[in-house]
Amino acid sequence: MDKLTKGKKGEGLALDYLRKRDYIILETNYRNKIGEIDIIAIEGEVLVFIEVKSRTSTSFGRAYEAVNFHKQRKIINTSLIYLRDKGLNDFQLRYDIIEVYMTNRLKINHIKDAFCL
Amino acid sequence: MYSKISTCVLQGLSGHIVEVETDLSRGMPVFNIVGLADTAIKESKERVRSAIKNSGYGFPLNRITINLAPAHLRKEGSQMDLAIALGILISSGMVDYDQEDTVFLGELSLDGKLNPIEGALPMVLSLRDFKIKRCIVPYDNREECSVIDDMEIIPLRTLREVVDYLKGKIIIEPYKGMGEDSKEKKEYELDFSDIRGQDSLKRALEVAAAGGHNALILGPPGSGKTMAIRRLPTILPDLSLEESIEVTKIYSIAGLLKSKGLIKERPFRSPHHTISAVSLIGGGRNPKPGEVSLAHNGVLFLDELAEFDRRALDSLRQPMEDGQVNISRIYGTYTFPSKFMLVAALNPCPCGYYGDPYHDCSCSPRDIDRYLNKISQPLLDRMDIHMEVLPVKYQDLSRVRKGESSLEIKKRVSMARQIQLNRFKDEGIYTNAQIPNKLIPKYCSLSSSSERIMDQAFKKYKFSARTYHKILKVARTIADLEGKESIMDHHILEAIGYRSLRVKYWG
Repeated sequence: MDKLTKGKKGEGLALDYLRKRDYIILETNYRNKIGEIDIIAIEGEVLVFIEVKSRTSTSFGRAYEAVNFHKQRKIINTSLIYLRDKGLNDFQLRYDIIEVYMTNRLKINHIKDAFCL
Repeated sequence: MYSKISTCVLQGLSGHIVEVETDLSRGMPVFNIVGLADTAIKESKERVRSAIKNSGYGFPLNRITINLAPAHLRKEGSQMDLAIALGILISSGMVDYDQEDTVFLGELSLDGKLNPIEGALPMVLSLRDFKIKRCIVPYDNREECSVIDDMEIIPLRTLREVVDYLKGKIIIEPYKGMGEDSKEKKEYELDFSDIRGQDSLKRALEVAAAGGHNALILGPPGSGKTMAIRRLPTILPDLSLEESIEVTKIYSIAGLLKSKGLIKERPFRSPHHTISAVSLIGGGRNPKPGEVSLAHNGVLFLDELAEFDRRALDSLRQPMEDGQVNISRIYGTYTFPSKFMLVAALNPCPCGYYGDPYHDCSCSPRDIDRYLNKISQPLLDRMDIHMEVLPVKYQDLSRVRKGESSLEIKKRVSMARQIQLNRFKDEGIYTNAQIPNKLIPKYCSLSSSSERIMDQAFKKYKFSARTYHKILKVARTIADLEGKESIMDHHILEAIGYRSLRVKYWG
């Protein structure tokens, strides 16, 4: 299983997880000139930007550690452009991380409000 | 989505009410504090965020803007944490609160506990002047705030308690203090009876203590200068309530309040002679009181006076005269009180033995001059009592009989101080040393024979006008020690005696 398919599989699992919890999915793999956001969804009144990180083993560190400061800035800047393009000015915002561990037992860990400006 | 609550900041010793306005709006989840806040307040963001979460409330996902009004006033201190956290909780609808008569003070720790703050007493005192009815303070600050009886002091331990109190879930009675039972006597390890001989030195210190006069003690090493002065606090009269509040205010903003309640003993500060002018007078970017203010209503003891930096010594002149220091920095001009009693000790020459009948002095006259001239004439002028001590005689040292105990001396000193307090109760001063020049004729009138003595002394010693006033004040104190209504000849003679040393060494 190469990196790309592993990532895709993880994002698919995350999407199933969110749909089960009544998130309305707006975009997947949204892309603009600054960067990419894996999932953009709405939960109640809050617009949520979600970064999905997949791992097949924990021996190289936890998944959320990979979302460092620079990655966070990139996601935030990308989301600002998204908001401007779609004219979504009156939403509460939240940035989440979803960790997908595809080890012997599948495990999904949703970190709400993982970072902010 | 908007809320407004009050807290307090200090500028020097005076407090100002600050309105913490909080607005929650939709948009990027940012947390901004505007209104000239210093680093401690900017950092409160993180404390507030954790404290709110760890107290079991949700931290809102909105754009949070906090304004500290009035915007022109520079704010410092961590006491605003509580008001900021409450502002957020009220704006996000977790608490209902719309009164304006309560002021919130407190620093938050990450688990939501209220930590004690610096300067609680001066803040609460100025809030009383603003007619504030109720004040919420951290539990550990309750003792120092409880001196005020016409304001409700609500001591609380955690952010959760504050919220529950505002919701009416818990009822806290205003704190009234532990009452008078905290008035226990302090036991000193030192006592004047430890000193053998040196009666004139003890007498001089007694007069100085009774009138709050400055004293300069000069003598060879080992003659008991430092030993005697270290015992000075044991004969000083107790602080009155007003004096005690003044002292506690200063220690409160300096963050030196160790006991929780009011300071009951007179301060005794003895800085090392390497002290800088700034730490002596007070200063810093946000001015803090220096040693002169920390010695307010007490004693500032400078041992080895000639070793001090001359600049530091001369900076003492103005605070000694005015009883207050004005410290100007970019952030404002602060005034701290500095009515202290300066007691200084020094050797008569670099080797220490000049004038000692038992040792030879190895200094040249030039060395001695240079050494003594480190103390400027204006500073000498401000010392009311000059005293030379000689080494203790063997007969005194081996004598088994003990001298007077501190308790006996203190009794006389307190009596003399009481006479002064009664005399000056309408003048706004406490001691003879503080008599302003215009009141000297009223309180220190001389008989015609005393006038003649003064006249002769003036011709002989060439006193300055300030010295004349100082002599009158000291004579007044000596008369008070005897309980006499008017100043008599032997009082004035003793007072002149305390000024004659200058001619010998600085002539």
